[in-house]
Amino acid sequence: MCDANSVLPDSKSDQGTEPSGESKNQDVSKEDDEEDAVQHKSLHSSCSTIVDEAEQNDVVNVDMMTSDLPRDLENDFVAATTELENEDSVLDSEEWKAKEKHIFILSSSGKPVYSRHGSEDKLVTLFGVMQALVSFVQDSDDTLESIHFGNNVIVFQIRGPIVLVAVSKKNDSVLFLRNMLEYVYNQVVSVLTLRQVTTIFERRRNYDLRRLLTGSERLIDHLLTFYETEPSLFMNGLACIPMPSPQREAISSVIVSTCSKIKNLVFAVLVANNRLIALARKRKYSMCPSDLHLILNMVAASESFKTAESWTPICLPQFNANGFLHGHVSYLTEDCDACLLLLTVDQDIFFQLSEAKKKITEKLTKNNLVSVINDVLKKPPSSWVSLHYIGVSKIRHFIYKCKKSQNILSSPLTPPYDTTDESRKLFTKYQNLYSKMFESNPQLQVLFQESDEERVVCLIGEKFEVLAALEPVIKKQSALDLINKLCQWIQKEEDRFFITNVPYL
Amino acid sequence: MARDSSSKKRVDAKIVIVGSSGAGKTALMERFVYSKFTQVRVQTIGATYVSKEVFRGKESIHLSIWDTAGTERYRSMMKQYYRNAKGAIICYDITDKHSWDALRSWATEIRGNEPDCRLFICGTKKDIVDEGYAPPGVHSDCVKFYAEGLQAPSIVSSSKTGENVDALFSMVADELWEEVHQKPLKKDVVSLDKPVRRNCCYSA
Amino acid sequence: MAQKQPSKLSLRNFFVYNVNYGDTEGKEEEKILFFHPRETNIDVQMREVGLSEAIVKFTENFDEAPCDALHSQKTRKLFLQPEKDFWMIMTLNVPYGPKSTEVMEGSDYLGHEVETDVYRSVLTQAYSTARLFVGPFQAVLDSQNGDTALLVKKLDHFFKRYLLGLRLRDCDILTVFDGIQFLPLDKTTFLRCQCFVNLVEASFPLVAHSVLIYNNSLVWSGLNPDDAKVVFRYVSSNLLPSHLKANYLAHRTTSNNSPRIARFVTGPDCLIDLVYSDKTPKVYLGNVTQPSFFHLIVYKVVDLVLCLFVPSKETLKLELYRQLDAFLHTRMTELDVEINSYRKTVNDPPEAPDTRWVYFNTTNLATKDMLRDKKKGPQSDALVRALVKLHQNHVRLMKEGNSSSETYLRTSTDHWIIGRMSNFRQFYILIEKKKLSLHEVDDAVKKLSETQLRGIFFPT
Repeated sequence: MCDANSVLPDSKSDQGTEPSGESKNQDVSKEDDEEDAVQHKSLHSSCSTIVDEAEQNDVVNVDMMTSDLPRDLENDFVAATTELENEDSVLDSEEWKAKEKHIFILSSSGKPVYSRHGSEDKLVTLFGVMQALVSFVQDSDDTLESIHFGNNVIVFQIRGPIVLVAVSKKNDSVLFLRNMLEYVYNQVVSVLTLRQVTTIFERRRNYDLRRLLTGSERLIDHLLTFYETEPSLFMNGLACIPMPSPQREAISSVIVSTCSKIKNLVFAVLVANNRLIALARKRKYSMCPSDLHLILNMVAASESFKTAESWTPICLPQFNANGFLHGHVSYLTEDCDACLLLLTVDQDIFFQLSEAKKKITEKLTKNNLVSVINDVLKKPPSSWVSLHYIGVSKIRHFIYKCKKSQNILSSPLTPPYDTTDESRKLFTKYQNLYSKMFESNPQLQVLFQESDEERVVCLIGEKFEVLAALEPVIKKQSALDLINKLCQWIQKEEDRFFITNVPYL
Repeated sequence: MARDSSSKKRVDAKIVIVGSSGAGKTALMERFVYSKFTQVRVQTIGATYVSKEVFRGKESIHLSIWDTAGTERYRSMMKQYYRNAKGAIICYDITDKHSWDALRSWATEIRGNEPDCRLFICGTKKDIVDEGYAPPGVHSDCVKFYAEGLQAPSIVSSSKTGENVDALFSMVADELWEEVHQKPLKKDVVSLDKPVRRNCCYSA
Repeated sequence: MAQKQPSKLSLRNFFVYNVNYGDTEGKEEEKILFFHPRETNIDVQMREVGLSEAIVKFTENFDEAPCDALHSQKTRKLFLQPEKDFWMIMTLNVPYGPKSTEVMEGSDYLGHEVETDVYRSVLTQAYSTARLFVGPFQAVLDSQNGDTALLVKKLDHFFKRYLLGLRLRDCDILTVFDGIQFLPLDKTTFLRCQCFVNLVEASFPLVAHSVLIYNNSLVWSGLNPDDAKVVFRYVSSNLLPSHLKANYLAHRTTSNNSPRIARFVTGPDCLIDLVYSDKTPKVYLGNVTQPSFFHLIVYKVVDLVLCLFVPSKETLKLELYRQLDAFLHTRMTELDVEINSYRKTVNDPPEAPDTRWVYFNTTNLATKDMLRDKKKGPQSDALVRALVKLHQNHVRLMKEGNSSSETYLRTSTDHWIIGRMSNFRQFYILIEKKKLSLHEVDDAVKKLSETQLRGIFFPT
């Protein structure tokens, strides 16, 4: 098959030597560390010792993990000799070839970390080729970005010691795939922290990261599907459960009043069905959409016992890529799908949070708010927005993003988009056009595209972004009028669909 | 916090379930607490906390169970989960030699950090061996010998059939019961789960 | 560190290799048939070829589609497999400079300024032109029993000059279309032209095919469009300009008693020489009944150019040129006048101000445009580049089964870009006038379609 060394004459010598760029990265990460330590201290000087201890723990941990060289090498050897025989069968299998999207993660030394389809062990040579290509281009002081062939595109992203590769067979935009890899990278960081990743590879360039990621493959798998099916990820927005604002405020205020005395609580997040119900944050800190998506992904990908409480370390890369937050994760009640996450920097306050959560549930139940939440969750998403009711039934589907709050509202997928195939096709179209708006130079503000299937309109305004699919024969001006009408309606109902005001804890 | 004075006779005990990834810790907890079994399991992230009351006549013991993640990346955080635990159930998959090897390192680590924590050794997936789907990966004599040396009771259970699961937890409860009743309880001891360093939060 | 100077798009390297050669250890460089720049160290050449081969093999793991392009931060590599086992690779240096025209600070590599489709087309044209003169690469190898020496020599001879004339920065959407500009004529005039060509072919049975060009537009072609476009491109953009230049120089340096006949663009300089050396080029036509080489005789009277293809096995004698000259001169002078007078009766439609546009028909490769003749600036360069992306999108929609599509774009600089595709006809418009309403734009597009593309139907 593809033996990298035979075609890349100089690549062998790369394997052992560090690319010169790496030392730079280390410097950068050190700076980050310091910055982040400062952040912690300013947040709460009283618990700085805890943070320090956690840091030490991490270092000890890495020592422990990297000290047993022989065992790992032996494993590698075994993997190399026994698995290689099966390899061709994976690459040759029609099923594998037919996959629409492949995602690979590898270390800069070529060690497989993750493959979306097919076991990494059986793709060792392919991983080797990817590493060789990346380092070959790096040798000329350049960076590999993408390969294009037919309807296929392969996107590379190099993030410190980690290389991420996306292969798409349906002409996805490079921006879409880059974003996808960014999410995957953030998921890895979320599980391990950037500091741990950096330290490990500083100590042992050849480290098999799978040892630390065992069990997280599922999180990545889930995230990829989430990314492909939920446009709010690509559009970097937060999707909320619609709710009359007095009720949402009542819920928030229960959370805020109960938690106000808890010193090191950074975020309180109430979510259900991959959407946000309520959010509260410590002053000066805000929740980035991409961080929230990692939280939603974790909640959705984990099996949950409604009565159990989890105490989960999670790193939110946009908030702080180098440290863990500790999350008290639990469902409000046994018969409620809303999941409450209390995120703190203090790893010792589980029972305090557990108590707070009990009180929150009690108060919400007493004020009838749990049943309010249950009622809202019972309503099918198709009932949230009625295009017919708004009087814009010629709009078949839309996604609206409010730029200020970064909240997103989309209409239900009704015919002709009610099948998986058709909705995917529409999202691919959206995704491509949306990328085009930003990739073009000069950037685009308005786009009308008419084809046999539908008219798609994309507007990037000062305050909002809209993607909409309309009936194909409709005139441009009429389409614009309808979209304006829709936007006005959304802006009037904003309080119900969006969380415009995030209260402080 | 669990420091309300209403539960006069209530005794709390913190128990932690540890062991290598895939040994069946969550399944064990789930069988004991919810009496159910799920074949396909998702990796536990961090740790899950559940509590269950076990009765001894009129009195009861409240087991606070921490089901922990077995993956290596959480090793550094494990200390916070087993800190002040009264008992630790260390699981190994009886069909998997590696999980047995891991058990020994768990035992050493907990012994070293929490000398007062009682250890229990639990072999899981008994049904797989019983039904002949896989041979045992560890010799039972070997387990016995090691357990004796550790002065830890050992048992082999199946979360799928439920065999020996209640027996395991009864055994745990019994041991802790004895211990609890040997010493008269002071309030501080009751809340076994209280963090050591807690000078800041309770303004009440 | 020294500040990197801004740089424009440039050619980094260009090479041709055959994967079947260079298998023997120590003789790997045998697979390289051409490499530009020639002075490149052989190890560097091998690395470049190695990378290309690795990329090709890597992509084969996922799909059969051959590799098109590789993007890196600093370069763009275009791939073409023109014949089985042959690969042509062109690497471009991505321009470097300020990220936007407004902000001068923060220079970077401007990858977005390099439209891959345009340079893929440059590469495809390089091959089709090479084939016009060299013939199919494999055929050259076969004629030498697989020895590469002759092909290496031929490729070197051809590309050396071809690459010098490559104006990469002038390439745009018209390069992508690689179309032919047709001369619009009324029926009578067109028939006159056709009769004339038929008469030539009947009077000179040696002539196998002919092409008639008027003022850089195609009037009539007896070739398959794929051959015609290569010949047309070569004649109109290489041969005629250099002929014009040579004539101009000759006119200045020699006195007017020169016996030189400027009418033969290819062929003898003068028809009374006692010693005649045949300077007529031989070109390869691949889409005729018997693909082979032909002598290409190009004869020009005022604005009218006639290309005649004579099978290469025939020996061209001076006598033939004399007969041709005698036959063609008056007839073509008359025809030129006739075409010219028709052109004068047709009023060119009033040019729409602040508007650039381009039309392309994928079936007959006809293009029409008002794109390059206007003043350009960095802003309109960017807008013209945007047309390529728009075209790409329409091709995609067509592949997805849409028979017609239409796109209206408004940029953040308040310009409108419009693309329409219907039944293999494509029309792209760029309105540089600012602050137009959708209604005004619609009107402008409608007007433009009516005046410029009479008879070309676009459903709205």
